[in-house]
Amino acid sequence: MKLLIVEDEHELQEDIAAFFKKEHFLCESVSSVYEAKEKVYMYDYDAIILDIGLPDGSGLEVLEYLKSIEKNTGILVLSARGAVDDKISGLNLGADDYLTKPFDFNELNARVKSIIRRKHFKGNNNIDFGDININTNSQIVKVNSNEIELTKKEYQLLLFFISNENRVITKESIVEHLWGDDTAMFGSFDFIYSHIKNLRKKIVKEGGSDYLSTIYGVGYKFKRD
Amino acid sequence: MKLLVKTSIYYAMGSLLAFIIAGYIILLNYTTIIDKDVNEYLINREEIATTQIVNDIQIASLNNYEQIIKKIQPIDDLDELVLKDTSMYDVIDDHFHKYRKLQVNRKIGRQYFDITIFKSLIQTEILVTEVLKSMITVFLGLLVFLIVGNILISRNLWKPFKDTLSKLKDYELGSVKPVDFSKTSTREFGQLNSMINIMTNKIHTDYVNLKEFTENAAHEIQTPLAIIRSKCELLLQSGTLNETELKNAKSIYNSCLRLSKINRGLSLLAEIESGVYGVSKKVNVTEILEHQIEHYKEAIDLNNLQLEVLVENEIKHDINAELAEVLISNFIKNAIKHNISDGKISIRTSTNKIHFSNSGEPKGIDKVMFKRFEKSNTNSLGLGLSIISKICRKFDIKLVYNYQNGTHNFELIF
Repeated sequence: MKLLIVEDEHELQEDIAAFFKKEHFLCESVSSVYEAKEKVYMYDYDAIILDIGLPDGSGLEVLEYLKSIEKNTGILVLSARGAVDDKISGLNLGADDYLTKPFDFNELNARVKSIIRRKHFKGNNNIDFGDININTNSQIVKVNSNEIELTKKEYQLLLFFISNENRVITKESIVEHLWGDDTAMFGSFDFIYSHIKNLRKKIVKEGGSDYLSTIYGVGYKFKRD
Repeated sequence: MKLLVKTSIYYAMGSLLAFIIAGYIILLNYTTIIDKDVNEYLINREEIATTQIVNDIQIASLNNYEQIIKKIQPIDDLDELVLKDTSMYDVIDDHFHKYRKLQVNRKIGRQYFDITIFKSLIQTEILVTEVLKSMITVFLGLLVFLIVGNILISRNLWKPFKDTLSKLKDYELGSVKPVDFSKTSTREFGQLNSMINIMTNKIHTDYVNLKEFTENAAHEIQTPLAIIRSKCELLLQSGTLNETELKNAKSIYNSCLRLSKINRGLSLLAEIESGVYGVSKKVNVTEILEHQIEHYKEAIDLNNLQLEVLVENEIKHDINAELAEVLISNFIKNAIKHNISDGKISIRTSTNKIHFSNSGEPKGIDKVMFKRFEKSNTNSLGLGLSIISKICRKFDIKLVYNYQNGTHNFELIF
């Protein structure tokens, strides 16, 4: 998987690159509109992480350029601004998703993977993870070939876990992923525990392995044995 | 008090004072002249009487109601004119009237006479009252003229001022266009308008600068926050930390999260205020409500809360769809957060109202809770209610709150 990171803040750029390298992506980083245009003209990427505020212009220009050269790459727009107009113009110009800084890496990861899934595996929307099989089109989840009934949020949670295999996931990022920005609105995140318990039960009941381990005081980890 | 009333009162008081002084002077002059006149008349009459006595005319025939001549015993003080005011009974109209009396003792031939002449002062009194009457009439007439004239003139004269006022009333701090005052030929109003123009321009630039600063600050803070967050995450993921270190990293991570939420909340408030969010006509609020209820259903379930929904009426309102979503989700999240264990949440609609109620701690929400950073609970940011009230104000939605029997009730009236 090839990923282009367009971000002018070097530390952040390096962190994103390091992160996705661990996820077995091939990463290239640039920090200006000019370089980004050059790169997308010369190479094909599976996904682009695009910052809007760049020193020589707006990331939206890269979007327009991509459209003009008719390249259909998955694009996730990253912005320090929460302003709606950025979001709307970004999505209108053909971005696939939008994330505001500061973001959660697990969230970024899940979203980039979901973009790539949508763009590149049109015929095959199956994710296999151990004895779990997910069809992202029909949203049907099977454990050992037996279909299990998940609620919408449980389904999103499972996908989130699978996208972030082997990584520590905090309760905060789970809440943020499922209910959006306002994690602080919930007094306590304890209810997440029952959410996860339910999901776990449904998988184990069909003979699936328990992939989920708790990291005390921090969160959870989803991993193959 | 209106300026017009004030000036009228000053005018009236001023002219009253002028009239009192003028009246006093006129009266004084009149009385002196009349006085002199009466005295001359009396002296004249006395001379005639004396001449008549000298000419041996019978005293009896000389005496009448205005003139009394008596023979008297010889006395010393002769030829001394004594003028005196007195009252005398008048048979004709059965009244006492003021008279002036001249008394003198004369020696004519060998005989001593006491000559007393009277002159009624009734004429003088009548004259004075007549003068006063006409003066009051003139005064009142002048006053009416002044006030009416004042009203008419003011209406015209103050028009540019009223114009300025109404323009200022419509002035919005955030608006781009400056206040356009109409031209006026009155120099003072021209000065006022230009001063106001200078002031509003200054306020406007200050406001824009401050706004830009806040926006930039909010914007610039997000990037370092993103870096802190990513570094924390790296620490959390590294797998080499022991439990205490992990907890510390988590604590930094959480504080960073909180900071960015506060920042986002404040930017949202600032953006609502500065009108970044446009209005769409007739947004289907019910649809948004249903969507949000669906969104939070599981969270409500997982918090062991009972949800009661009765959404039937279709409510449409001119609002920004995005903010309508923020508004409604804030209510639902509040209801989840400030609830008791095994509590209840109820969401109902009627023709133009959405009603949220939830069981909660027996503590009502004061007015101050709608301000920023007022919170009952250390876990919250304290921005939720202030965002709610700001959105409501922006889009003309009436917000009613009360606390009854352990239930918080919020009502949105569209």
